[in-house]
Amino acid sequence: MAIKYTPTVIEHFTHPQNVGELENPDASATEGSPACGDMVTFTVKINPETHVLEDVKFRSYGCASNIATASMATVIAKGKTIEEVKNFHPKIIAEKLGGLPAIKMHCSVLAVNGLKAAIKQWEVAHGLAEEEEIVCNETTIRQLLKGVINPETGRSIVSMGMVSYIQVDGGRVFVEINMQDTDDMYAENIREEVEEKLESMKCIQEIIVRILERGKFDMKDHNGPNGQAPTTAASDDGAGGI
Amino acid sequence: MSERLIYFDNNDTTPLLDAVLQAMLPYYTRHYGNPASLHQLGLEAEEAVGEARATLAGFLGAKPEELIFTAGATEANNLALFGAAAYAPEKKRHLITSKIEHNAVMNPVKRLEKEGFKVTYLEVDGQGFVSPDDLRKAITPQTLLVSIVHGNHEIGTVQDLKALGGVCRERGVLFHTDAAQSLSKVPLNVTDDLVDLASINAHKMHGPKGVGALYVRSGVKIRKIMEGAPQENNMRPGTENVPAIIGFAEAARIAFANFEADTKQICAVRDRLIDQLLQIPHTLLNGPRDHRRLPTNADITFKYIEGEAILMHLSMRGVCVSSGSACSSKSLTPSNVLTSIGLKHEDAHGSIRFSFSKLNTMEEVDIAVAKVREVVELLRSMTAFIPELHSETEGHGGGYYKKKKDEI
Amino acid sequence: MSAYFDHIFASPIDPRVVEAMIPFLRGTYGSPISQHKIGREAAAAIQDCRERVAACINASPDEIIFTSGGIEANNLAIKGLLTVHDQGQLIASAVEPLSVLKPAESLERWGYSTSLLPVNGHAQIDLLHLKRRINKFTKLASAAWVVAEVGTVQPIEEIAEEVKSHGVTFHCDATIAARYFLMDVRSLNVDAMTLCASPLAGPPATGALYLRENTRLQPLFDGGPQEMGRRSGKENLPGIVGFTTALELQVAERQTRFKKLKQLDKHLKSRLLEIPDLVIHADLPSRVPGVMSCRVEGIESEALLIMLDQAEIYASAGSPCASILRKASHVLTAMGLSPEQAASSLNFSLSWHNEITEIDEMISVLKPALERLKAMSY
Repeated sequence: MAIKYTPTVIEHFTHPQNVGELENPDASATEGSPACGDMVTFTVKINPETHVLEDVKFRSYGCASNIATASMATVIAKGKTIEEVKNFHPKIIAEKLGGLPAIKMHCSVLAVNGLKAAIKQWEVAHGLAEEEEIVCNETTIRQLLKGVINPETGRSIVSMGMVSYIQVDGGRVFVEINMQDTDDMYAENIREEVEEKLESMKCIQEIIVRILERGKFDMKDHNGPNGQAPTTAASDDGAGGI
Repeated sequence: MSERLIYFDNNDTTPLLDAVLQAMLPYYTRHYGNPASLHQLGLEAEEAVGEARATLAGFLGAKPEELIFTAGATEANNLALFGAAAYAPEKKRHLITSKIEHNAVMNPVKRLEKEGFKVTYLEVDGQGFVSPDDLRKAITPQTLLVSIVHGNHEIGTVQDLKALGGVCRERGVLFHTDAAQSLSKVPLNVTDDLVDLASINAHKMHGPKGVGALYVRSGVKIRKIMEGAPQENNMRPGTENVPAIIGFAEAARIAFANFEADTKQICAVRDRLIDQLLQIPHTLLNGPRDHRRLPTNADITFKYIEGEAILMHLSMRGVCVSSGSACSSKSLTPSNVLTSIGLKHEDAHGSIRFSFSKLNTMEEVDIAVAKVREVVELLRSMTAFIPELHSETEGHGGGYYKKKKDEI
Repeated sequence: MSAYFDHIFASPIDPRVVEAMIPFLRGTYGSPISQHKIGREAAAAIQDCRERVAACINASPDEIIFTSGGIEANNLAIKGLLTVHDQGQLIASAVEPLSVLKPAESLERWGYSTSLLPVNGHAQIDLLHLKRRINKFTKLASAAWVVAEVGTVQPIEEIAEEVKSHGVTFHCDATIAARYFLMDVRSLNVDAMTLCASPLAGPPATGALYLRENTRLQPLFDGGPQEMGRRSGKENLPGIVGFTTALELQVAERQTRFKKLKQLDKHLKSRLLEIPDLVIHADLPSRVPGVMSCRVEGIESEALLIMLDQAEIYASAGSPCASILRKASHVLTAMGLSPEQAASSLNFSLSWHNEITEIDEMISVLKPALERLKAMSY
């Protein structure tokens, strides 16, 4: 079915706010990539005393939702403190837009992550935070995968319990995704998103993703590639999930 | 300012011609017999359907009894593939198809693969052509059937059906082609082209929706996929959609009556659009530039911007098109056709398909081109995809250097 | 004067239905899946139809799958609901439509089976039989609410209760029932239900399958994502609009139509019974008005039909399909009729547009025709 966009989304798509880039920005960050067809670059100006996001602009490469969510993100963020922006949840953007179809929820995640990344860059540059050495383990990977949205439901694959198995072996990562009742046609997209997220982790050298299609998975019979029993798919702990 | 809508999405579906509607209406009002009934009204309906069948068969180069009416081309493709597979001997469980098929062929093939058939997906060259040599090399003694689309829905590539059919005939393998886009647009004769099974439909040539047909060469055995009534020579149960079948034949009659002139006109419109759009910097034409392209099809990549955004801006400006980008697809993956001809993902995301019918004019092209320029400029002015900053990569993100494996 | 009594299998389309379809034949030709303006119009139109059909049967819009008719819907239901299990059994009566029985039969080579419930002389299903036959292999049960040809009404709610109590999926063919009864899928407690446009004076080759939410179904056709992946293929929007309109008209005019059919049926019955040696099949008080099957002992009905046809009186014998196949109607056979008796059967299916005068005209042709045939026979 053709995507039904709310009037607010259409408005932010046709007349996006804060388009472009700041001259001499205090920080900038890019989320997404040309290859996945979804990319946003934010440039920000942050007041060093008040920590208020005084100005923000965006450039985008992506669909109508991509443009609209980025535009709305800048509108909401402008004038807030960086603490407030760090607590942004993609749902806020979706709500302010009057709602986003499930298949487009990932755009709101992109926008929020982009803003947060820009702020992080500024904090690191000002000694307010440390460049995190991300350790490769099941917990951090699961946390990372929270950003992968199931296009059918608009919820993260982690909160849906679709990440059925994670194994880390030095620089080698094996992730198993159980499609459950989600249509198989989304398998390729979910695989790509998972791989993309894993690629961003510097500690990972080798990525193996296995997708279990609908109806084929029975938890009790399943074993990992080395014959170990599975870890139970942890349910979303609530923080930052969708 | 009310503008007339410019409809450039004819590879998806076309408007019903008034002449076709007029031919159909009596079968919605006065003539309502069920062709299966033995009485006068039923016989009249049966006769009308028979005439339509003969007309369509004639245009295909087939015999009337070789056509099975279905509810559309999707059903015809399913009938061909599942129908042939159902009679596959134990030793013949290998299928060959191409990487650029429409999902109405791809998905049945994938289901057969899950059910235990081995499938070879033939590569295509940069313009979408399947090489008859590659096909010959792929055929084994286990091969049951080959399915290759005649005219591609995305990039317009028209395969050399006779060459491919010849290879199949030589090796005793069934040859099926999805001819939904190509019927009445380029020459097609199932007998001369050595085709065993062909799917066609009406709504791509100004005919009604809800009707299609499968050509099955005499002697080729396929199993029906629906049961319960003996229509269509016991191959497809269900009261025939008489008005739609009449409409199908009428649409074909009209299309073939003006074949030369219409094709020339559509090509002129298409070529004008292509020439003008390629003048915009950083654009690519996807698919062949010569006569081996569907007259109705033009597919252009606009680099550094995204398809769904282009499409929506154009729609707001009164121009209807479609896109091969991931964001505009139901499954969020870029068109398999575009990635199979070697396009980088980002170039697939920036693709727009413009497709024409004989109702489109040069004037519409000029208006549309102006709007496209407007939209491209707008989106490029705000794009995050700046080539110097973002290396154009293979695969996803920048991590292509990482080893990736598919677990089966 | 001509008179047409074959309405279940082909009926003139209600002019109001044609009127509703025309704008969708002339304009609104887009695909619901397209993002542009024309696609959106089509998407809005099809969603509207979905909501309206759902409202007619107390379902939700997402539970409606549009198909190319009742036969496809039955095929989709039977094959689709059985093959989601690795193996299993269908339980269906011997009078179910062939579009239910044949698909199940075709699955036998894959390990699925059919348990055929016998029926009595009135084509009724015995609930006790059903109870005894359901076992752990039964995955699907199918029963038509109204039996074709003879008009027998099955106790669908009781059947559903029995079937559901075993956790078995229940499909009901409501093709003919939709002409007579209020459809409420929740109170009927069915998991799937077939609807067809033509018996409701709708366009040919359109119908729908109601499928209860969260019921797993293997599609018949693979391809595009239409109908939420359950039925691929470009939607036949004009047909769908026609079906929707026909269904709504039926719901609105149900009682008037029922009354008229009752009146016509009473008259037809009393006039037919004037003929010696004529037997009306399954003539229970609950038989739906306007669907009547009878026979005249010793007369071959095909010859009779030809004579009627010559006088522009149109009826049928057995089902049209049976006629083509030159086989005795499986419904009549299951009711216990011998092949000779089945070969003497004459079926009438009336529409609310028929008139008493047409029935009288028919009788005035039928009686002498019967005389002539009797004289020619042994």
